[in-house]
Amino acid sequence: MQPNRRRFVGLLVFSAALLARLPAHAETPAISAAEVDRAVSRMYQSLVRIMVVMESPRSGRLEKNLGSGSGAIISEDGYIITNHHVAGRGKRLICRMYDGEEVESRLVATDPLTDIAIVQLDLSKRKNKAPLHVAQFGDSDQLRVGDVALAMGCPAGVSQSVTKGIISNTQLMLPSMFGGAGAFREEGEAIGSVVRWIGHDAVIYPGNSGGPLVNPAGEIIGINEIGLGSLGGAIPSNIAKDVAQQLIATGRVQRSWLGIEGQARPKNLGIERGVLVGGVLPDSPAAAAGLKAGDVLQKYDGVEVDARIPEDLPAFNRLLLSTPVGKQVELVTLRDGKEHKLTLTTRVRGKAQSNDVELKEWGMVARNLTLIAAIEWQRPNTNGVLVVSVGLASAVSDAKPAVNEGDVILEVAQAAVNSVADLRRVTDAQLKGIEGTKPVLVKFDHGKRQYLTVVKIGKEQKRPDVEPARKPGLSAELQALSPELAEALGLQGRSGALVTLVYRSHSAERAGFQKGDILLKFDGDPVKCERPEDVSDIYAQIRRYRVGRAVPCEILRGGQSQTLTLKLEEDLSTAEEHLPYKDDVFDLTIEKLTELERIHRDIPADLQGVKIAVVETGGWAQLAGLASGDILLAIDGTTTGDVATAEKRLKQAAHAKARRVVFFLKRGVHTLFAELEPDWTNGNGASKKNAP
Amino acid sequence: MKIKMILCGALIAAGTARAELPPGTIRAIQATNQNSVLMLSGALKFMCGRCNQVHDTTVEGPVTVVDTNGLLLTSSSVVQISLLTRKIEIRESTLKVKLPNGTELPVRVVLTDRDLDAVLLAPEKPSAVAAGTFKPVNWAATAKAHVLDDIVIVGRMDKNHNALVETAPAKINSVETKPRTVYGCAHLVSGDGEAVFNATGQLVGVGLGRQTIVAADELQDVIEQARHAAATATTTKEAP
Repeated sequence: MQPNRRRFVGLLVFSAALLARLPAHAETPAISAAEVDRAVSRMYQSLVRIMVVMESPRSGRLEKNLGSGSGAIISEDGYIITNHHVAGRGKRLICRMYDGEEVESRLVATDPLTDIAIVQLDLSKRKNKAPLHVAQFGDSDQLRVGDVALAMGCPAGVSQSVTKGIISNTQLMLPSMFGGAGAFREEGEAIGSVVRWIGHDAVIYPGNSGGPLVNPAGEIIGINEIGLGSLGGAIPSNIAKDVAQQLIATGRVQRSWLGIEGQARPKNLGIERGVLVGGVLPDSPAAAAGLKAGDVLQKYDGVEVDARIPEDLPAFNRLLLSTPVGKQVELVTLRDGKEHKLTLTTRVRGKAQSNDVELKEWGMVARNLTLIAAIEWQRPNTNGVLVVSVGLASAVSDAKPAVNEGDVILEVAQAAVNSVADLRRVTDAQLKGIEGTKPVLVKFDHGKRQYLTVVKIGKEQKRPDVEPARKPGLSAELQALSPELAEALGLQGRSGALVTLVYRSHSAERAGFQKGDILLKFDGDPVKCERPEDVSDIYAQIRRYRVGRAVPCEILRGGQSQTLTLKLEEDLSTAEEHLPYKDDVFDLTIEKLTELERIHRDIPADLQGVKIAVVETGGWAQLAGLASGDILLAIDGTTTGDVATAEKRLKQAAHAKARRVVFFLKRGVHTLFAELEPDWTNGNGASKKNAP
Repeated sequence: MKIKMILCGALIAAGTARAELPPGTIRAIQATNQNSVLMLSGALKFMCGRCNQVHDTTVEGPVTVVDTNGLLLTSSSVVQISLLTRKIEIRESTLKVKLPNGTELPVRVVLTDRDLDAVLLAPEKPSAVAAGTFKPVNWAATAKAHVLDDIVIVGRMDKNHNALVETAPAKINSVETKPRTVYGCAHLVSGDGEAVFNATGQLVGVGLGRQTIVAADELQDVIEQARHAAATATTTKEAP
C-alpha cells in the first residue's frame, strides 16, 4: 500500500512543481468582486484547518507523523467533511477554526474508496460558543466546463485561503501515464474506480486536500483531493454528500461485492454497447454465477450498462457497489455473440485492507486479512495475520528462519491465529507473569512455503553492558603541530602538540596546563605529532600508563620551556557510566549528562538535567520537536536532575495518561518548552509495568 | 582464524627445531597447564554504538583461565570486536567455553581493553559453576623474561582439530618496558589468548596480538576491573 501512497504524494508534489512555474491564470469568466465576496462569506467561516497525527508502518513500528489538511463544517453539531487521506489514519486531530481557535476533534468514520472522512469537533471544549457556520452542498451534476470555482482550504498548512479558477473538466480521470484509475489507492482501495473528479484550475497545493471547491453561490460542489499538473481534482459533491451522510448515520458505507472487474469495450469488439468483463475474482458471486472474462455485460439488474471509454467505468462500478447486499440480480451478457442470462446474489463488500496494528512484543506491524486482501494475496481464506512491517533486530527478524513482511502467521504456541485479536490474546497469555522474553513456536506461510520457527517474544531484558577497561587520559586535548604551523610559530624543526582545551577542575589544569601550551615531551620522550592522526597515537600512548602515576611533561609557553608534573587520572570518556534509559511510551532515550559532555558543551556544573540521547523517528517525542542532544531539565514542572529521576517522571506521566506532558528543555543557549501529546489508546503506556 | 592457526602451527613447528628446552620440560609444562587454557567458541550479536546496526560474529580461539570463578582472558581478535571503541551492547550471545571434561559452559564478555587488545569473559551463571571447574594458571608465581629467554606457549588447536591443546617452545625476541612490559615473540604469529611460561613453568604473560605477549604483571589491573565488572553487572534474566 505504501508505494501507491508515495506515488500519490509524489503526484501532488509534481503538481505543485508545475503550478509554481505557471503564470497566473490569465482569464477566468467574469465574476464580480461582490459575487466572490458573497461566495467567500458563505463558506469562509466553515473552513477548518485539520492538524493530524497519523501513523504509518515502518521498521516494525507505527511511526507517527504530522500532517495537515482542510475541511468544511457541514452540520451544527460539528461534523466536518474532509479526505480520508487527511484524517482517516489520524490518532490525534485538532481543527483550527477561521477565528484561530483550535478545537480538539475525533475521527467519526472514514471511507477510503471515495477518500472521504468525517471528523467531529469536540464542541464542549470550544471556547467560542457562537453557533457554527454550516456549509451547504451544491449539485455537482449541474456543473459545466467553464463555470467559476473557488478552491478554499489551508494549502501547506497556512490559514484559510481562497483561490479562483474555472471548472476545466467534469469527468476527470487519471490518464494511463499516471497509472490509470488504479493509481490512487488508499488502504488498498482504488479511488479512481468509483470517482470521476471535477477538474479545475483554481490553484491548490498539498494541504488543500479535504477542502471544499465552491461555486459562486457559496456551496460545496466538490472536495479537493488531487493535483494533476496544473489541474486540481475534486470529488463531486453529490458523491461526497452521500458518503458523508452514510458515515455520519451508520459509521460506514455499505456496499455489495460481486467480483466483477469491468473494462471499457475494446475498439475491435464490434459491439455497440456493454461493459467488457475483464476478469472475475475467484470465489466471488460473479464466479459462482458463471460469469467469465470476455463476456460483455449488457444489463445489470434490469439496467442497461455501457462503458465505451474508461471515464464510463466509475458510474458502472458505483451501480454495482450500490446494490443492496444479498439481493438476487439478473445479468444479461453476450458470450460468443449469444445472449446469456445469469443470476447472482450479492455479498457484503468489506474493506480492502484492515487497520495496521503494532505488536511491540514481536517487533512488527501486522493486520488482518480481509476477503479482498485474501484474494489478492492468493490465500485460501482470511485466516492468519499478515505481517506488514518488521523491525531491524526485532523478535521476528532475529528468529531463524526470520518472519518477513508479507508472511502470514498461522499458529503461535500451537494455537491457531486467525486474526490480530487472536495473536494479541495468545501473546498476552504467553507473556503473562513474564518480564523478559519467551520463545514461542510459530507456524507461518512465506509465499507458498510453510515454515516453523521460534520467536522470542516480549520485552528483551537489557543484557549487562560490556565495560571498557578504565584507562588514564590527559584531561586535556591536543592539536598536531605540523611543520608549517611550527614554522609559523617560529619553532622550525621542533616537534610537539598544541594544547587546545584543558578540562576544568581536572588533573591537567591542576598541573598547570594552559590552552596554547605546546607539549614537547611526555615522560621524557619527545612528542611526535605532525599530522592530525598522530594525536590519537599520543592518547593511546598515555592509555598505556596506569592511573595515578605522576608523569613529567615538558611544555613550551611564551617561548620558555618548563616542566609540569601531571598526575594521570582516569580518562573521562570511560570514567562515567552513561546509564541510558529507553522509554517506549515517549519514544526517546535519556542518559547521564557526563562530565566530558559538560566540558565540551560548556554546561555549568550546577545545571541539573539529563541528555536526550536518542529521539525515535516517528515517535511522540519527535512530533513534539525534541532533538537528540537536548537537555531535559524538567517534566511537568518537576526537575529531572538524573536519569533515575527522569525515568520515574516519565513513568509517572505514562501512568497518569495526561493529555499533555510538558518537557522543559535546554538547547544550546536557549531553553524551551515542548508539549508531548501521546495517544493512550492501543495500550500505549497503559501497561501496568509502566506504573512508577 | 583457521589459516592463522595453521600458520602459527607451522611456525611453531619450525621453532621447535631451534628450541633448547628439553622435550620433557615442555611436556611437563603442558601437563601442568593444559586445563588452564581452554577453547572458546560461539557467536555474538551486538549493537555497535547507537547506530542501531546489529553485527554478527563467530568466535573461536583459546582463552587463559584467570581464576577459579571462571574469569577468562583472550585476545579481542578471538572475539572479533577489536575495532569497537566504546561500550557495546551484546544482544545475543552463544559463547561457550569447552571445559576439560568436554562439556560446554555459556560465558559472556564482561570487559574489553582495546589498549591491551584484551577481552575478559565470565560464566553466564556464576552460581552454576561447580567448585573445581576452572583451574587457573598460577598468577601468584609470575616471572619476567629477557631477550632470548626460552618460553613455552600453551594454546588450543581449532575445532577441526578437536580443540586439542598445543604446546610450542619459542624465544623472547624483544622486551619493551616503558611504560609497561610487553614481550615480542616472532614465533607467536597471532597472539590469541595463549598462556606463555618460562622454562621453569612460571607464567610470563598472555599472547595478545600479533607477536605480542603482555607481561602477566601488566594484566593484573585489568583483571581486577573485570572481576568488579563481572560481580556488579546485572545477571541477564531468562524467561522460564
